[in-house]
Parts: sequence; structure tokens; C-alpha cells
Amino acid sequence: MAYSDNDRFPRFGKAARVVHFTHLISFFVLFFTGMSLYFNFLSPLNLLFGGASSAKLIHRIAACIFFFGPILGICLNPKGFFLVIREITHWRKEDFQFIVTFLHKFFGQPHEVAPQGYLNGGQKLNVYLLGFGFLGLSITGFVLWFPQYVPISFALWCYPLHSLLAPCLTAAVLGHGYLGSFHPGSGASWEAIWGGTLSRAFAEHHHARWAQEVDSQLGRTRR
Amino acid sequence: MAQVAKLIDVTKCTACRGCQVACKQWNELPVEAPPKEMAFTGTLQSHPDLAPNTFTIIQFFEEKDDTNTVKYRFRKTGCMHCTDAACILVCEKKALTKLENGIVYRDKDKCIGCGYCAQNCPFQVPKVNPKTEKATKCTLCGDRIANKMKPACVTTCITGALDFGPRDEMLKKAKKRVETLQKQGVANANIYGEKELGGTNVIYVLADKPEAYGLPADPQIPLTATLWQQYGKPIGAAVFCASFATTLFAFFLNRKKDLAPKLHHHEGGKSHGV
Amino acid sequence: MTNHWVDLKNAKAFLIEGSNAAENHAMAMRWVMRAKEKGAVVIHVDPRFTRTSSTADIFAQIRPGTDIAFLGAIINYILQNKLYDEPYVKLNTNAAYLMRSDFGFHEGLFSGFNEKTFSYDTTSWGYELGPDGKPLKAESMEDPRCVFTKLKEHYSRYTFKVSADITGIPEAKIKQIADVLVKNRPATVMYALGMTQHTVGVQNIRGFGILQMLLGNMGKPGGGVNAMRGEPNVQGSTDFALLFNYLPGYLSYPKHTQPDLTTWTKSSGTFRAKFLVNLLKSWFGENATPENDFGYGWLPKINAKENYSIFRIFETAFEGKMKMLHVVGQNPMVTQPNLNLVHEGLTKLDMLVVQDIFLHETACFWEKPGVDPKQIQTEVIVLPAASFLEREGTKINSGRLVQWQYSKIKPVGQAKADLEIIDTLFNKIRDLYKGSTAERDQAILKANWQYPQENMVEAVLKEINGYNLNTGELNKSIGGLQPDGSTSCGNWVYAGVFANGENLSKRKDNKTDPGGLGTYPKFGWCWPGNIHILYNRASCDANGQPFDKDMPLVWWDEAQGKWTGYDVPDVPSATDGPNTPNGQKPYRMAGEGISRFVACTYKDPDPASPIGLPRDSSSTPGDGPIPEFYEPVESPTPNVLHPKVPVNPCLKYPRLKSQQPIGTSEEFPYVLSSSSMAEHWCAGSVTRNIPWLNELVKETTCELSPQLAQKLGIANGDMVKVWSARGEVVVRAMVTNRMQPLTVNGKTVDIVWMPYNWSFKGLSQAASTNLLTIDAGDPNTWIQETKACLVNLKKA
Repeated sequence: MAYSDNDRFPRFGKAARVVHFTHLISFFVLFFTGMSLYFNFLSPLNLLFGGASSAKLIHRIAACIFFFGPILGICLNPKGFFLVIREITHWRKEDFQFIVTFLHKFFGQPHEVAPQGYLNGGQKLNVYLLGFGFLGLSITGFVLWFPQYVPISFALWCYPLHSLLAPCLTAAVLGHGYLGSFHPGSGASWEAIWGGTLSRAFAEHHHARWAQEVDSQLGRTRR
Repeated sequence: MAQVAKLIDVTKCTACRGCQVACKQWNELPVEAPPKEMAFTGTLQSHPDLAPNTFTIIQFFEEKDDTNTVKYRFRKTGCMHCTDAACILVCEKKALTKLENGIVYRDKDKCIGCGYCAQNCPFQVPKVNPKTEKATKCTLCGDRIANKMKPACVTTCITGALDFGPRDEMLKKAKKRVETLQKQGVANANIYGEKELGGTNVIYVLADKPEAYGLPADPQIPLTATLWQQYGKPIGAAVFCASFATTLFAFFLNRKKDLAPKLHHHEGGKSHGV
Repeated sequence: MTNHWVDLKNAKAFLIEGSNAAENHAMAMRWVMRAKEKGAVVIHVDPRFTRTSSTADIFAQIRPGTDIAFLGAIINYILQNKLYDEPYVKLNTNAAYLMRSDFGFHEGLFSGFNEKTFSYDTTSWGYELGPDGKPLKAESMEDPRCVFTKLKEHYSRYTFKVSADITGIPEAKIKQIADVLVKNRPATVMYALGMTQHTVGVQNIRGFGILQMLLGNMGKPGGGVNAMRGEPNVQGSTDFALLFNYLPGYLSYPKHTQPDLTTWTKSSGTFRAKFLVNLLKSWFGENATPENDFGYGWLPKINAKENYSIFRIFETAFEGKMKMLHVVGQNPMVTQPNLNLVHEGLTKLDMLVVQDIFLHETACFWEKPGVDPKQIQTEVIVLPAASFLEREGTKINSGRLVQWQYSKIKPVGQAKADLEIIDTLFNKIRDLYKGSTAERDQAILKANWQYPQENMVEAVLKEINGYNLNTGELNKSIGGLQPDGSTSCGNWVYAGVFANGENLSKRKDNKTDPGGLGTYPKFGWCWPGNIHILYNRASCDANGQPFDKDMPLVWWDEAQGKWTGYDVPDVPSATDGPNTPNGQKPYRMAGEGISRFVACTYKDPDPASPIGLPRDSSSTPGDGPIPEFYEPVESPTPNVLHPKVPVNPCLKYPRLKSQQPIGTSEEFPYVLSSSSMAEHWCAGSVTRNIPWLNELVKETTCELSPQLAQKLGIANGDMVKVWSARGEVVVRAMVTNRMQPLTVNGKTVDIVWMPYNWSFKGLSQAASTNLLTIDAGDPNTWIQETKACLVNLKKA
């Protein structure tokens, strides 16, 4: 197959993209309903959800979507999941180099990007952050919902943990969201999560090693 | 207004449970469930625990010591109306407040039934009614007190195990009673609630150590509640604000830059980005 | 109660036996707690550890039905060691009276027993009488022929060892209790159905009497023998002839052997005949004249050989001899023992009228599970009655305090107050008899029955208080009642409740308490004559001065020349001082005027009677003058005192062979005791329809010891099958340390307990314990032995 500058790199399957956005939406629903429960001065936010009672209900429904969405995604595409697991458990020198240059990227400073695989170092770190945040919030959240089924001493720890994890995950999501959607250099990653593919330019820039792998798999050789 | 208190002298309680019924009658509380379906508690105790429509129960403690002597203890359980109240600390909606007279007052309209108070109370007193989504607990009959009446349970108590009045008077009475009991050979007689949790507005005279009556020896606001309210929340808020500000800063900083990656036609190696 | 509720606070020790006061007379504990605050010692003797035991300093677990063995040992200990109150005993009892030489007790039988009729000829139980018909007295209480010696001899067999073997209470504990009672006086005795529901019920209570007399605790504040009666006016019902063998005011009911007033008086005495005349004047008004014996002849007579107790009601119904039954405020389909027989009896009636506030098990007996209503021909009519909150009137508490209860609530639906129903019914019935000349109908036709529709209850209370028929004034006191028909009184002990036209039961002065003993003489009104502590003359020495200077109650005031004090003195005449015969009659309701260790048969001569009628007749239980221990009908062990006479010899049981089997200890090894509980009242007809109470206690449980549970493989909360010779039930097991096996005559005896408050109607339904219980009855009172029968049990 011929190499072209317009080549697309298949990045996210349909399931992953659907799950990502339901997850995203559920996160924001959780965020806003949670905020109103978290800070009393934000109580008026409850009105958006029909009062505190329905805010609580919506928070719980959203929590279910938030938790079971990704699980469903894994079930639909276990291969992709294991790919990610393999990626995040294999760290190369370049990954660390990427992380070192991360702040440059974030603040739009010139930097060099070491050739990255399917997930670059930053993304690997992000998977950890979001993954543990996801699990931690889900577990503590469900305990707060059903405290009667766990030892009380454990339940009590879930309150501060949930309170602490929620803003931390929000911070990670903000960063992730900014980089993926609003960072001037991220137009392509938006395409990936929305359309499923990456442009050559972006792929080669951010995931040079992966881009090569894909090219070789697809037999796209440069003339 | 001076602080009020309810004095519960367990040494005079015979577990007739008039207080349980009087409480339900005054507060117009229905029975918990069709009685037959309720768990057999193993003793004569009516409910395994306090419940959304049951603000007070008599807890039964049966035990047999080495000399084959049976000990049969009763304790009227309910809200302690603490001064350092965990429920107030953790209530996100400020539905729980300490009134001037000492009552831990629950504002029904503000309560959203999150259950945080239920979990964090050192005595596990508040219960959330899943139907109404409100946490409930003993009100110390604030409505009756306001009308110069004693709480319903106190009014109905026939043996004199319950009393109600200014807190300092009740404390004085409790101390005198403990003295009498000790003179009569009840060596372990003690007051519970004088200093616990900053001084509670329900005070017990116990004939034995608190544990024998299912009371924590040294009740505290849970460490987790303090961590959560005094550290977790501010730190969390700071983290959130900082990340939000940073992201916003980056957004405005980078907004006008052309940072889209360009195609570089070179072999592998490092790519230069911006 | 010889004393009253508030007086409990004056006691220095409590013997609570056969009562679960904290649960069944919860209010009693208010005063017990007050006494405890001052250091009083509480002793609880009961087959199981209850909420009452939790308040006790000493708890003794006793085998059901062995109370006399327990009390006998304490009595013996006091007698042998001379721990009794000698001045009190000398002054107030028949200790020194000489008994007839033919009195005796041998192998479980008193002299005069007739094996064919299961009854005693009680002649030999009398005193040696002087020529004036009065008892002869010994020089000293040591005289071998005197009552005190007989008492000592009788109880000499009751050693701590024997008592411990029979009762299961360790010897040391019995001694400890005896010592506490000796050292802490006055001590009060509190009892209830745990003492009376036995085939030796009357003798059990006599045991208390002897104990309290020895200790000198009678007639004093903080002392007494206190029967705690049922809350819904049981005392009042008994005062008004609830029992078949009494007329109102505990006057003997006329028997067929007493066809006229004179023959009745021969047995009951002129003192009581006066009260009967007043009663008859009250019932028959103008129609009662001296010429017609004041209408005595119109009263139906009972067959002296028959028993008309509630048990015979269902048995005669079963035999087909009873056609109709009117049940008021009672639910025998739950409360009676041997319930299967009750049900059988009801099915054989032509008609059953039930007057109650709920449709309970008796009204709906044909709905009993497993019964085909089509097979039952009984017509059932229900008269909806008003609840106690919907009608006004008096209630009499155990302390004989008459209190008025107001009501401003209208009865629900068509319900009517009981009095209104009875009034309507009586007038309709009288209309039906109009014109009849038959002798048997005269009681109805001649009755003085006209009550105003307004304030009917108060009109009845006035009639009970009675009038001076010459002046039309209301009686002021018992002393004003006349034997000649010039006064009327519906119940002589209530004379004075409406003194001077004021309804004294309405008084609510809870501040005035002279002496600080809790008498509150202006709160309600106490029968008789507002005397709060009966026999209070006995609290004084021979000169009429209080024995206890710290707690004076009444005394003779020489200056004023009359008896006075903080309570109304219980003396025949307030102005007859200690130097007159009337001033030395502390127990004036007995013929002798003093109290009796041995209940000797005695008729006090009336010098005023020209035809030699007695003045008063002392009451003697038919089954013996001294309490003797007999095993319950169903007992797990032989009677070690007299194996040949194991049970009360006067007992007639079974009365109906086919329906009243007796279980043996081989087949039914466990002892069942049953009772009521705090949360449910009696049949539960009312309480089981109150959800809040059903929430507290949900069902019948069978309490058993962990040891027995382990032996039978029963876990706490399991369903168990319990069965007796009479029936079987399946109930939930409550395994608790509060039940402990006892060692009786060297063998382990397991006791189980069940509440009897449930059945198949109402909001809370569960198995009826009374399907198991035995309907053998005390020969005097016919109260059933529901406290002790034999059962077997296993995991269901």
C-alpha cells in the first residue's frame, strides 16, 4: 500500500469512543451533582437537577453509568483493554523522556518528543491517574451508598477518601480534557476520540514508534 | 436559654418500655414493619437497632457470670445530643445544628438523607428513612419543651429512671445518685455524658462500665470525619482550584499559538515539537 | 392489698414472690425504687429471671408450685430460733389459744378427712372453748396444746435441706433470704397470680400471712401482704361479687342449705347479716321488709355441693346442660386453661352473647383454625361495648382506692357503655316477665331498678354508698348502717364513698400527706372508711402507742379520748380505748378480733342475739388450717413429705375424665409455667390490636435454658413444638440464661416458660399457650393451676 501524507491511523474503536463519551458525560453529571452536595454554598446547583433528592438520585444513576460503562467497554473490546494494560505495564526510556517534556507541551513551550508507542508516557500516566481515580471513587462511592454492607471503620474512611479523590480526579480530567480538546496542538487527538483515527502528522509526532508499527503492518512504505 | 438535659438512670429502669410507646405516640411514628417480618432479636428487645420510625428503644443485655448469676441490664438508647456532635460536623447541608438549650436539632427541610450523620455518629443513632429520604432521631421533644412540658418519654416513665431539667441540676442529681449507689455497694456506678463529647445533653447513670451497656468507653468524633471535614475538603478544594486555574492559564497562554504538529520527513529518531 | 401502692416506699425489704411486678404491675416499681433509694433490699422468688429480678438484690429461682415448702422453711427457721416479734405475736395473734385435743396432722392429712367426698369435717380444727363460747388461752405460748406449739410442730419438718430439695433453691440462699427478712423490718410481701394460680393458691397466701405475723409486719407502714390485682378494675370486680360464692362486699352467697335469713346468719353471723339486710334493701327497696326477710327468699340459692366457677360453665356447656352464655369484658377462648375444652363447650351452646370492644377469639370461636363453622350451631350475638376511655365511673386499684375516671370521648359507632347495655337489657327482660307470679321471677320483678339516663353511673355509686331511708341522706360510714332495714347500702365496704353528698372518689388532692407516709387521705377514697392500711391498730402496743416511734401511723390519744393518726384507725369504735375489749381487736374482721396462725374454725357468740346466733364467723380454708406443701397435679417429682398424699387431698380432678387427662413426668418431663407480660394484657383482646404494642412483643415464645436447648438441639429463634396431655402448639424458642435447670430431690428439672396472651384473632396472632395448661383448680377458689403443668418439647 502506498504511503501518503493523508494516511489515517486507526486509534479508537467505536465501543471505546461511545464508552469514553458516556463516561465523560456521567463524570460531569457526577461532578455537578457532587459539587452541590460537597459545598453547601453550591446548593442552588441542585435546582438544575430538580432538588437535592433528585440530585442524589441522579448522582447515583450517573455513578452506575460511570462505573459500569468502562466495564462494558472492556467486555466489548477485551483485546483493546489488554493492549492498554500491556502498554501501561511496559515503560521505555522514551516514556520518561516524554513526561519530562510534558510541562513544556502543556504550556506550549518548544520541546522535543521522544518517539512514543501507542500510548505515550503522558497518556500512560493518565491511564494510571484516571484508572485509580475511577476505581477509588467508585469503590468509596458505592460504600457511601451502601454503608451497611461493610465494616463501619472502613465506611468511615471512604468519606475523606471520596472527598479527596473527587477533586484529584477532576484535576486530572481537567488536564486531560484541556490537552485533548482545547490545547492548540490537540485538534488531532479530538479527531481520534471523535472519529476514531489520527492524522499522519499527529501520529508521527506523538506516537512515532506506533506510527511506524502501523505503517509496517499495513504495508505503507514511503516511496 | 440555659442548657437542658435528660437524665437516664439505668439502675431504675425496669424495661417496661412505656417510653418507647410514648415516643411513638407523641411523634406520631408508625410501627417499623409488619411485626412478624421483623427479625427475632434473640432477646425481648423489640428492634435490633434504632430505626427511622423508632427514635428510642430499650436495649437488653443478658449475661451470666462465673458464679452463675444472671445479669439483665437495660439501657434506653437514643440521641445523646452531644456538644461536639459528629453529625453536625459532617452534615453537608447544615441540617443539623446545636441549639442554645443543647438540643441537636435536625431541620427536616434541609436534610437530604445522605446518611453521613448516621455513619459518623459515635453512637450510630440517626437513621435514614429510605422512603422520605430524611435522617431521623430523637428530638428531645423540642416542641414539648418549648411549651414547658417534659419529653414524652420522661413524662411516661413510672419508675423515675428518666428525668428532665436544667443540665446542671440533672448533673447534680446524677452525682448524688452515683454516690448513693456506691454507698449501697454498686462500686462501678458512674456518670456518662458529663464530659464525653464536650458534654452531652443526655446523661446516664450507669451501674457498670459503659461497655456493659453497649456504650463506647471513650466516644470520639471519628478521626475520619475530622480528616474529611478539616483536611480532605479544603485540600480537595485547593487541588481543584489549582488545577482549574492552571488549565485556564495554559488555555489563555496557548490559545493563539499554532502548535499543530507538522509532518517531518525524516527517519525515526527524535521529532521536534513545540 | 392490706397496705397500698404508695406505702411500698416505706418498706425496708421486699419479698416479691409469684409476681413479675416490673412487667405486670409496672407501676409498683415506682415505689419499690423509692424504697431502694433509701436502701431497701429486694428479694425476688420466681421460676424464671425476669425484669423484676433485674431490680432485685437477691434472686431465687423456685420450682413452680413449691412456695409453701419455701415459706415453710423460713417460718420454721424463725420459730426455731425465736426470731419472731414476740410482743407483736403475743398481742395480735391466736398463738396462745388452746386448740382442741382431737386436732392432728398425719401423713399429709389433717384430722377429719373424708376420702369419699375429698373434704374435711373441720370440727376438730376448733379451739377449746370456755363456758362463754370464747376460746381458752394458755398461760404461755410454750403450752403444748396452744396454736403456737401446733404451728412449730407442723413446720418442724420444713428444714432448709427439705425445702431446698423440693424447691430447687440452694439451702444457703433460703437462709440468706430468711435473715434479710428478719433483719429488715418492716418488710412487705408483693404477690400476684404466680402465688394464686395453683391447687394450693389459698394456702400459699396463708403462708405469707403467717410469715408476716411472725415478723410483726402486719398493719404497719411498709409491711403487709399485698396482692397486686389486675389493672382494669379487678379489685372492684371482686368487691362486687365477681366470684360465684360471694355477694357484694364478700358476704357469703346463700346456699340451698340456708333457705332463710336466720340460717344464713347462723353461718355468717349477725355482724354480716346487718350488711346483707342493707344490700337487700338496696336491691329490693320498698319490697324488702322485715316480714319477708328483706327479700332474702327471692335470691336464687346455689347448691352447696356444686361449684359454679367459670370452669364449670364450659364443662356444663360441654355436658349439654347450659343453653346460653353472656360473656362481658372477658375472652375465655384465650385466658382459660385447657382451651380445647372451652371451645368444645362453646360449640354446644344454643346462644352466645359477647359484650366487648373487639371481635375477639370468644366472639369468633367458630373461626378457630381447623374448625368447620358449618358444624357449629351456636348463635352468636355481639354487643359492641364502649372502651374504658369512652365511659366514666369508678376504678378501684389494688390498694382499695376508689378513683373516679372522667371521659369526654364518645363511644365509637354503635358502642355503648356496659352500664347502659345492662340497664337496657334488664328493663327489657323485666318487661317480658311482667305479670308473672312465679316465685323464681320475683327477684326480677321486685328489683329496685330505676336509674336516670343522665349521670347514671353516679346514681349507681350513690346506691352503693346507700341511704338513711328515713331521712333520705346518704350514708356517712359503715357505722351508720342499721340492721332493721332503715338504711340501705349496695356494698357495705363502700359506705361513706358519697358521704355528705360529695363524690369522694373525685378528690384529687395529691399534696396533703400528714406524716409523710404516702397516705394522701384526700386523694380519692379508700374502702373501708378511707382506711389505707388495714389492721393498722396492730402497729401499736397494748396501750395504743406506736411500736415504731420513727414511723407512727395511728395511736390512742388519751387527752382527746379517741384513736387518731395519719390514717383512719382500723378499730371497731374510735372512742373505745385500749382498756376496752374493742380497743384490743386489731383484726376485727376475724371472729376472734386477732390474727390467726392456725385458721381455727370459730364462731364468735353474739350476746345480743336472743336465739343464740353467732356475732361473726372466722373463715377457714376447706383444705386445711395450716398451709401444707402439696405437689402440683402434674409434677416432675414425688412428694417427699408424704408420698401417699402427693397433691392437695381436697382436689377433685379430673372433673370430666374424657377432657382432662393428667400427664406423667415420664411422658412430659418439663415443667411449664405461663404468665402475662408487660406489653400485652391478659387475653390481648385490646393490646394485640395496638400496633405499637405488637411491635414490642410479636408472638408467643417458649423460654428455655441453654442447657435444655443444647440437649434438644434447639437454637435461639428456632420453632419448637410444645405439647402436653391436653394440646400442642408450635412457637418460637427463646434460649436464655434467665432460665436455669433446677436440682430437685437429686434430679435435674428443666423449666420452660410461655406467655399466654396470643391466639387466632386481632392484629397479632400466634399460638395459644393455654391449649397446654391444666384446668385443675384450688378447692377454695377454683383458680386454675396455670403456673405449673408438664410438657414435652422438641424442635419443630
